[in-house]
Amino acid sequence: MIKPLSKNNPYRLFLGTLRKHWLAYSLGMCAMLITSFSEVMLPKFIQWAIELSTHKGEGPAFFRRADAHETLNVMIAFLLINLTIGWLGRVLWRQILARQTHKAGHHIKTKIWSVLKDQPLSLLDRHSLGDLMNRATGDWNRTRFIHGFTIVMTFDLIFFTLLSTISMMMIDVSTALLCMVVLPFLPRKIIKISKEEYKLHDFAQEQLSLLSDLISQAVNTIRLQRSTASEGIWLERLGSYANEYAKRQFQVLKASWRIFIIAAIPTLFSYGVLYTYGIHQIQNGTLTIGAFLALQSYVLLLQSPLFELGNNISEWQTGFASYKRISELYDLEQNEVYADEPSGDIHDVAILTQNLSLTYGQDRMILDSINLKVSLGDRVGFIGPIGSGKSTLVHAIAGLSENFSGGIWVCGSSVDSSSREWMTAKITMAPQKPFLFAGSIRHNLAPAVTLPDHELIEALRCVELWNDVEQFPEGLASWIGEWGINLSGGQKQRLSLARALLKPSPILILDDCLSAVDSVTEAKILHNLGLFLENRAVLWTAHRLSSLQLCNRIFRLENGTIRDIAQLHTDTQKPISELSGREIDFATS
Amino acid sequence: MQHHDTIDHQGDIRAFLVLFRYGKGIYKNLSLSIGLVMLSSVFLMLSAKNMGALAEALQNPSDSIPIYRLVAMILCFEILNVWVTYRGRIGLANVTNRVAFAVRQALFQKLTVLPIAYFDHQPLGRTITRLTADVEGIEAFFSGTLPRILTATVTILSVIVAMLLTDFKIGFWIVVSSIPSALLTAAVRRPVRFWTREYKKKSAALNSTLAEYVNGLSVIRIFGLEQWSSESFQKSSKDLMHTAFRMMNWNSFIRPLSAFLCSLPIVAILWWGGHLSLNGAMSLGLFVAFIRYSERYFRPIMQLSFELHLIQDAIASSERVRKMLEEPEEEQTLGVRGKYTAPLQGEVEYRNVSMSYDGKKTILNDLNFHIKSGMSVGLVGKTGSGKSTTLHLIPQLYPIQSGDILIDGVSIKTWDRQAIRSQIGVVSQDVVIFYGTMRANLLATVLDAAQIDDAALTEACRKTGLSHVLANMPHGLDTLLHDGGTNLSMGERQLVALTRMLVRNPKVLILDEATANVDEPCEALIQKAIVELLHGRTCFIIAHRLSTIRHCDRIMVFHKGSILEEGRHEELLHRGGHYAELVRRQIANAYI
Repeated sequence: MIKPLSKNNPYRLFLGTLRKHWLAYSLGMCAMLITSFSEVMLPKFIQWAIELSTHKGEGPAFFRRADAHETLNVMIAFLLINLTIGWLGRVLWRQILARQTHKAGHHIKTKIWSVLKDQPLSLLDRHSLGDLMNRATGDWNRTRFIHGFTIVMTFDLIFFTLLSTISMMMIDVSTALLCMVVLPFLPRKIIKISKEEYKLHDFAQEQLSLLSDLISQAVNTIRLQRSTASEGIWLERLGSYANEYAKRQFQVLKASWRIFIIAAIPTLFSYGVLYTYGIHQIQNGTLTIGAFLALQSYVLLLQSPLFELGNNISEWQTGFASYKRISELYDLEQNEVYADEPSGDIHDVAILTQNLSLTYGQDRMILDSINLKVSLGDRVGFIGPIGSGKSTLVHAIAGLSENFSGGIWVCGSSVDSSSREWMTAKITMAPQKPFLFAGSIRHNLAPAVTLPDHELIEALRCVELWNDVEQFPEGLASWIGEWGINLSGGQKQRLSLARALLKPSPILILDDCLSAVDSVTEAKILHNLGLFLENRAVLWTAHRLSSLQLCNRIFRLENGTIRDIAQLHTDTQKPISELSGREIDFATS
Repeated sequence: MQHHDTIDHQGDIRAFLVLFRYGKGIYKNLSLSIGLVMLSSVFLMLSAKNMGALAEALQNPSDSIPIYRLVAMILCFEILNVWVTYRGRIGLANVTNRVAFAVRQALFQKLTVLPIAYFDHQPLGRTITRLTADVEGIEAFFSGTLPRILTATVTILSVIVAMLLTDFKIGFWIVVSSIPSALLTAAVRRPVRFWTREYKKKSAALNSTLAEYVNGLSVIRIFGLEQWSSESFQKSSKDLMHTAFRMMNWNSFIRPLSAFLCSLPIVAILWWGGHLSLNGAMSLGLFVAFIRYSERYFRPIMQLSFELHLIQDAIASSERVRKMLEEPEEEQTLGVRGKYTAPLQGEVEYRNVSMSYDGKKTILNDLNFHIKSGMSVGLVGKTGSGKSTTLHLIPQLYPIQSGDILIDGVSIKTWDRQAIRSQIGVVSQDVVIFYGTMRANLLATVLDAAQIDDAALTEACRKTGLSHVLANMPHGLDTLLHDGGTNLSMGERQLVALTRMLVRNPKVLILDEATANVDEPCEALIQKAIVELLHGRTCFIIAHRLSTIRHCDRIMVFHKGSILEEGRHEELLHRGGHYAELVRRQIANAYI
């Protein structure tokens, strides 16, 4: 079966880039040709100079002057011109082709994020972060190289070999042919070893990433190790991982030096030819000493393309393999169908679900026919054991899940057909696992918008964080993240909650967002929150019933179904249903 | 914000020579390898010299040395050169490989003796960077750049010597003609290094931004940051590209220029030697030999000019690594490790203990208490009241300023630290779970893991209730746990941590907020597990929820580094002090 090439076939993408920048690539190729030509001419000048000084010849006709000294001066002047041209050629190809490498790098990297940003959250179930980052770093690097530096190396190899061979032939056909007689036999062997070297390299890199993971675990567990005197176990593991890596790394180095030996064989062989047959030719008078030296220089020059051949082929192969992995990410790109924005009036029913079901994998039912109706001003709590589907339910309502069945309507518009902008405007969430950007506290509170400081402070006060932030030397401008201030788990959750409170949307989802906050602080926050929750529809999940004291309806989720209303007793010992006037209009399956 | 991490002071070469100290027993191999590299240069020079003689002999066949002998010698030298180079470079690779390994080992070893305070002051990310990126940088330098620079230097020096010996005057001028390339290299070293570093820094920053965005996809979605993230990412990427262009501009100017300047010695010898030969003032042999010398001279000089600036980076990495290796160790901060070892009974006494982390702010103030073996003690108090610090002192994570702590009646200064640590158990709020099987995770703190078989593990799991969790796992003890325990709930992680300690069977057990993050269904299980753990040990428990500690034999209420009240739950409640107030507040928020 022949599959049609997809739009994102790496070869097609690559050729597309070449076509798009054809002028740059052709100019770069010309510059490479000039460079190679200048390099190949150097042995020729050596030959001419020696021939001139041994009175065996005077070089090309246009060098000739009345006096041999003058001829030599002209010759050297031309040598300098040749070197200058070579210099220009080098500058040119670097400016043109190296630039293409970096341009391709920029293009690919930004494309990766522009595709990933629209992915559903299940992206990280399908690809681990490590996998995605490998594609965006290692694969990215190899891919951008085939857009520039690898091309340079290939041109260099071809031009250099071709021009050197021609020059050798022009000096003496029979000696040149004899010198190069072993050349055709070597590339296969060299390519084989190079491939092996690449494999060994990957093998070593694998071990290195295992070692790095282990190191970060070892550093992160340092307190536990120290308190329990169990450092020895880690030390032993680290040592054995590092030792394995060192061994593998040494194999890589050894392989690269094997290539050196093999690439040296033709040179030694050619020397053998030159020093026997070539000397014989000199004694015959068919070869001058200058020509002999030039041949010898060419033999030496030809060694480097041989050396690079295997590398170059591997670079193309791994480059395209990498490009393929990147294009798999491109394939994720979805053309989102933007529905018409629902008419502006917000329905009184903020959230409506009908027979909402969700299965995970083959047959694990997470949600089973959930029917729910939440109006503005309602504060609905969900409680239930781990895996009961609390988070899944609120995620689905927030439009973060796919593959659910049944219907979800947010402010009267179906989640399936609502645009991103609509959903963003209507729903805000504070997740259980707080995510903060590496940046200032201000930036984290109001990403992508600017809010006046007093509003930020008000939100921080509400989550009982302002006292802490005020103590930081740079206040709201304090940097958080690995290189900045380390916040505790509870502080992170509170900051993330403050961020959600600052977004003016009619629906607020609090997904167990105070789980890491101690009960005293939690009580204070719950006391402050009331004002922020007015006239909003609030969905609130928690693992402690006490966290849900602000809710006027509480459901227990178990095995994916809404089971009953949990009766919340407060200090007045009244059940929740008596405290709130609203009665329950919901249906369980 | 990475600027915190660079050492502005330019370390000198000694910083990394010091690292060679860690490769014990490598000196023989090192000198042998360098000897081989030098030998290969000698062979090359001899080959060039004989080539001159051969040219001479070919022109004047009457000369005494027979041509076949010269040919045989040249071929011999060339073959020997390849072989000796190969052996020398492999030898060097072996040496550098082992030094890098030894440096890693030394750092791992250091991790185990650095005082805990070190890790409080340094972001963990920075310590990890020392052990990964910095060592990798040094290793890459050792295995790639250093041998190349070494070989190039040896070659250049031997060519210079050969040239000066062959003909001092000509040799001298050839060396002079290579000065421009050396000057260029020196002149542009700074900008090249600057832009290369800048590029690396920005590249790393861009990648971490990408990782951050992927991790924060849900926040990006909820807050509608797609467009913003795309734009800011594009901006950073563009900035990186322009930095790459700047780096490229320098390279595309310098590298060709240095190639041009490096070929000047050949131009010089062709021009000067040509004229001399025409005048008959220079023999053909000398002329040819010098041409070959210059050819050999050309590449190593270019190589040096390209790679010399890398030394600075390696030195900076070495400097940072060396600094970490020279950090004061526990022996210095806690005092010399005592000699006393004995099976722990679990009696703990604090006598007038005062403690401060920074020498300014007092955390513990003249603390006194005496706990008998087998008692359970609950510690209560606000954040910062000193209760966690108190417990950190039992395994001696920090030094105390005055007073003494006695364990089984013996001062901790007399005790061997490791003996105490190896007989206590600690469960804290942040559970450490690493990638590996459940079995490996449970045995993580047991030194002699071979002694504990699956039956013992299963029994421990049954006691803590982890067996309920295991029952749902398809592979039982062989189930793979993810890094950080992401495939377990918070409560399940705590059960793992508790079982892990039970397996150790410690005489003293410290539970520091072990129940803070536990979800409702697991809580009952964990309470049971704790009761199981308390049996026959001295236990110290810090908990926010008083239900966890109400059954303790003694409850101590901490305030500003001192004990405000102590006694049993009922006594304290009856007294109507701080503890009673706390209990009242908690009940107000609690549930049934």
